[in-house]
Amino acid sequence: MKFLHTADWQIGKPFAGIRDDRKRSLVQHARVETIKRIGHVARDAGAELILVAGDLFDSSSADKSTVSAACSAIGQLGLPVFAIPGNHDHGGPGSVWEQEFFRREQASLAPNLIVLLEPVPRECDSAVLLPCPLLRRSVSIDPMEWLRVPDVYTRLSPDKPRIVLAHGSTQVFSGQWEDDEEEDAAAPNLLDLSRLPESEIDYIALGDWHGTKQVHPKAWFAGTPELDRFAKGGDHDPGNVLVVEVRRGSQLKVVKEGTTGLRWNDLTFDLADDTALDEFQDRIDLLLGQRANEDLLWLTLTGSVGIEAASLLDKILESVDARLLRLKLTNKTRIAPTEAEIDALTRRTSDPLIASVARQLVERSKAGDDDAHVARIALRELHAACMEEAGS
Amino acid sequence: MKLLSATVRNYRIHREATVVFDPSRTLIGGPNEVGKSTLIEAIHRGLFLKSTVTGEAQKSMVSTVFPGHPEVELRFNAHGGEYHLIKRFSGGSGTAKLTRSGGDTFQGEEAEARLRQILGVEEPGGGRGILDRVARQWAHLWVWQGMSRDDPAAHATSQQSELLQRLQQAGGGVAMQSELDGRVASRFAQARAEVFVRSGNARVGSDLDRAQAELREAEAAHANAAERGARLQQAITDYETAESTLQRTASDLEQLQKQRQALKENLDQAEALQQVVREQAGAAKTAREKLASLEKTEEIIAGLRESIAHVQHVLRPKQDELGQAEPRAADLRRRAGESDRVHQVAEAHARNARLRRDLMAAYVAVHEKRARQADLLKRLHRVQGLQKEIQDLRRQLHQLPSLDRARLEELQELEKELGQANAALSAMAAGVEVISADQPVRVGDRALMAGESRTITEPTDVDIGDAVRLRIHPGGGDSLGAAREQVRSLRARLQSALDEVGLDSCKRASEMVAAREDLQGKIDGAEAALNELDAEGTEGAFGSAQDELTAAEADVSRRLELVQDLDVPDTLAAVKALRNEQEESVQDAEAEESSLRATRDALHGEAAGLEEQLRFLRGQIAEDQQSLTGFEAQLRLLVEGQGDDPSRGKAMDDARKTLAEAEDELERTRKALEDLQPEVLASDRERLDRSVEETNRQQQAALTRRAVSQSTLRSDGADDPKASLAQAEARLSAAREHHQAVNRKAMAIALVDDLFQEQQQALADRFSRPLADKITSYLQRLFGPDARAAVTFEDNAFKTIKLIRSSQAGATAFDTLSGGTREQVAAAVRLAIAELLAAEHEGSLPVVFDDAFAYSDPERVHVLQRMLDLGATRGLQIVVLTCNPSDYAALGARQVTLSLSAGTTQRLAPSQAAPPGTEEPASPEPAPPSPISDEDAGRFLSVLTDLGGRSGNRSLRDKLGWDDGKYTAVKDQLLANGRIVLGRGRGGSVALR
Repeated sequence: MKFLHTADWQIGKPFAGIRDDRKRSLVQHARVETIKRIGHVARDAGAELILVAGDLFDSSSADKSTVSAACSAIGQLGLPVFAIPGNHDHGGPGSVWEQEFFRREQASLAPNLIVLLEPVPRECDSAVLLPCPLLRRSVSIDPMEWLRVPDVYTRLSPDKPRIVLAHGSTQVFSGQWEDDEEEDAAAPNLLDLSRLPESEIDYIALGDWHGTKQVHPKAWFAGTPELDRFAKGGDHDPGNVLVVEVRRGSQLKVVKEGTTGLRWNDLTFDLADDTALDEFQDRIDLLLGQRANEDLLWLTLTGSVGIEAASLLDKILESVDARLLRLKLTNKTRIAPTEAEIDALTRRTSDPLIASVARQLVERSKAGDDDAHVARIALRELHAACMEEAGS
Repeated sequence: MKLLSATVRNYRIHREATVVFDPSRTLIGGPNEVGKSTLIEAIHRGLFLKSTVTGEAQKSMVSTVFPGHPEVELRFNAHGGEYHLIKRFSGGSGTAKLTRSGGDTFQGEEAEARLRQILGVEEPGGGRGILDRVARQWAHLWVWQGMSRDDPAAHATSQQSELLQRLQQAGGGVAMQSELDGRVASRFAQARAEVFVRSGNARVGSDLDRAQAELREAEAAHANAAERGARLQQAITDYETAESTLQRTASDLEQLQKQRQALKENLDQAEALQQVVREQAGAAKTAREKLASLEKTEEIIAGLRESIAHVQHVLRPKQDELGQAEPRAADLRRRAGESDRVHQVAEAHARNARLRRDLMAAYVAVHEKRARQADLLKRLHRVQGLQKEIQDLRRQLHQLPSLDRARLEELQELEKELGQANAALSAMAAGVEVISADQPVRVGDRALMAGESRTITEPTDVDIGDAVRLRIHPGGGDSLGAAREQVRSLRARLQSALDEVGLDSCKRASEMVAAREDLQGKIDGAEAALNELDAEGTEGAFGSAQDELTAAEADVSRRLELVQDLDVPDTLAAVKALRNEQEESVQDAEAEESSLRATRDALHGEAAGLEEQLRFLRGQIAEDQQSLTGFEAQLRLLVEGQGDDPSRGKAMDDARKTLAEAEDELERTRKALEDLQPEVLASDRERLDRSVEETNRQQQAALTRRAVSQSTLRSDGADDPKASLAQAEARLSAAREHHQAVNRKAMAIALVDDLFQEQQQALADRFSRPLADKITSYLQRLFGPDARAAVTFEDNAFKTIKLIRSSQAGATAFDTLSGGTREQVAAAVRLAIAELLAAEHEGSLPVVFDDAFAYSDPERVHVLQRMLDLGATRGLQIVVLTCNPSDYAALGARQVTLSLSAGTTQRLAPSQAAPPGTEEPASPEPAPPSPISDEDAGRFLSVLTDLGGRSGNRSLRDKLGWDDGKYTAVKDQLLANGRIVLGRGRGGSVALR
């Protein structure tokens, strides 16, 4: 049989780093749109089921509009969708799964959604599901522990493939994600795949790691189908779902399908001198093309710029920010007035006061502390004022 | 600039007056009201007031005395040339003409502009307040009357830019704040003021203030969201804690229930044992009671037996005693019986004797009574005789009329009176006597028989037969009536009295009275005899005696029946003798009887005592026997009921054995019960109950906590607290960033402002020092070598000027100086400022003192001339107006005396008058304006374009390197051609069109 393995939809992720409400809403909505793409992939592949290995919602206290949007999208998939709670949308008291509103919306919009809240085998038409739901954000025992007991398997259908759903980290690898929104990472919920009776199981559908990754002959992280953060370093492969073909006791066939919609870009640029601004502008143009509101960019700027160049840089960034869904800027540039700029201020024989003030500011700006920072700004302000007043 | 001469025409009180000024020192004297101040005002207006001024300003100058428009004509040196200025203030048509010697002539507005340029002043405008504004022009040089004590710092400020420029030069080329410097500095000062208030806090509504507010809000919102998140986290923790508590309590409760079950079994057992103990104790008690009952019976039996023995013991002597006493008692009874009989005989004897004696005594009494009775009878008979006699007499008396002697005498009196009355009447009356009559005669109503007569005392009809009637009228008239009446009355009275006593006449009455008196005498005698006999007493005594006799006789007859065989003597004496004899017999018999009675009584007494003793003894014996019978009956009953001695003994043994067994059993059960430690069981139960209760309580609390935390966790889904927190964090971080940026910018602005201020201050200090030095040099002429001036320069302005008189004394602020000293210090400051500013005016400026030292004492005025002289020495043109020119005699000034002589032209020439002909130099013809070269115009426009198309006049002129005149000329030409326009700003500016 064929099914679709996915995880970490994280519907309702706040993206609080995006200050513009409209853009934030677009990024949030993109995650709901992804569900539709997942539906297309599933239908195209002839999948019988969709398995969501945790973190369907971003929060265990998702709000009403999030719940409704998710249920509506899931309801339109046309396939049974089985999901387990992950660390983000863990079960337990007060969780979204127990909320009256969710149950109502599920019943009316997504009757095909089955949330597996207990670690007991669930047999469906073509497979046996072995869910390992998380009922707390962080658990100290392996959620898969119950699958180590041989008795579990004795009463299972001998013909149907057995698919484990679990959410957590395997000990096999560790990686880094840079997510400025992720709360302090609690101790990861560790999954020990080695202690499972391998022959009793045909596929392990994992969630939590946002990149697509095989960690065991039978175990895969599907990764998130829609990027939700800037990947930082490493060989990550997010934005996919897995189409899995499996039969009881035989070989697997896993095919990765891309589903992502938004572009999460990363750019680091060093402004060696003021002429680099043009180059920077070119790079940006190349990266974004003519698009607007489709990209997110983590831009890291280093180097230093002169006073006038700094203003120019501000203008470039202003338009970049407007075109992006999100500009995450790590601006490590320094405003370093050029010799000419400094001379223009400090060697004004006709304006002795300005020259004297400018000289003092230049002196102050040489230190590395906050006062120096202020002095650099002051220099810039003075420069601007002189330009404006002299021009008037 | 130096004034050469001034002429005013038709200006208020002046028709025409001319003053020629000394280049250095001019003293204008003249008395009050002569027009000194008017003159100096006219010169000032000539310099600064536009000729076309209208309204009040113009009218204020018009003379009320002289026709014609006011005119001011001035000659002065400036900018290296000599100028001739004529202004005619005729309102809107006023004219101005300025001629430079050997140069151009300017007319109208151009002349005015040119003049302003020369004087270095701004266009004062027009309209209201024009005179005030004009008066402020060159106020630092022009000391108006009454203003000499004003703070000169204000003038310094008004001339600041020029002053600063001069000071800069004076300070040895100190860098002067440029225009751009000033603009940039004020731009930062303003920017800072927009952000910060004076206290250094952010100004309300500024970016910084908004950023701070946003940050505060973001912090609050974040705290709120975080608090909510923490609350939810706490709820989860609570829920889990409650869950684990519920699990633990459930297992604890199970454990406790088991313990409770075990305890219950022990308790049941203990209770059962306690029941057994109660039962066994009951049995033991029953056995004990039975034994006690048996023992009690034994005791009773023993007691009864003892009692019987005792009674029997005391009964025997009593029975013995009784046996002895009974015969004795029988003997005594017999003897007493005998004694009774003897006594009875004696008693009868005595009685008999007494009867005889009494009979005799009765006889004596009969005898004596009989004698008395006979006496009394005799006497009674006599009484009865007397009483009969009296009775008869009285009967006789009563038969007589009841008439006494007094009554008789009354009758007799009446009869006597009647006789007399009759006699009288008869004398008068008529008598009728029927001697015979054949017919019935009737006198009056009475028939009168023959022989009968009748006296008639009143008219009376006499009828004789039926046919004759006579009426007889006796004589005497009325007296007859009276007499007749008296007779009739007396007769009636006598008759009545006689009728009373029932007699018919007085004679009879007299007889009757005598008879009565005789009878009465006899009655009285009989009654006296009767009284003597005591009739009633006698009668009573007799009755009594009769009765006594009868009684005595009856007594005798009764006694006779009792006494036989006694012969009674007849006589009293015999009887008495016999009686006495019998009396003695009685006494003897009674004595014997008495003796016998005593004997008898003694015997009876003894017998009675003995009988009593016997009775008592018998009673005791009877009682004892009764007791004995009772005891024996009880004993018998007991023995019958309880069995005989052996069977009772056995029963007792059995009872003892039963008791011992019961007690043994009880002891064993109690021991078993003690082994169970019932008191510990009770406390165990208490402890377990407590534990269960506590565990239940915990369970309940956990249930409540679980419910509470569940309800906290039960979200309505309105929003996602985690998302809210993430948003709040992002907002906080953005707000922090923003605030930091804004704050940094604000600090940068403040920093630049601070630095500008510092620099300006440094400049100011350098600028103010030459001014202070200049002032000091003037002050030292006044106050000696120790005097100094201190000038404060702040915020680009001269704030205060202070006087320091000596190195010891402190600085004295201008305001606090005395009036005179203020005048002098102010003059020093003016001179210093004028000296500094004079550099712009070829080293000279006029300084006018109009009565400026009114408050200074003459000596100080004298001294201050040194100061004025110093100013003049340094190039200033000192003009002093005073009404006391002699005060300034030591100034060495050219003196001009002003005096009023209406209608004539006054020439106020210096005393060393200028040679004639030179006084009124002819106005030179105005030279045609020199043409502006295209080259100059092109250069002007090119440089202006380089400067951004806009520039201040001074900057542009400097840039061009032209003098003022050329610059102005070219500028004016271009203005006229419309190539450039005038702009704003100090000193004016121009801009490309």
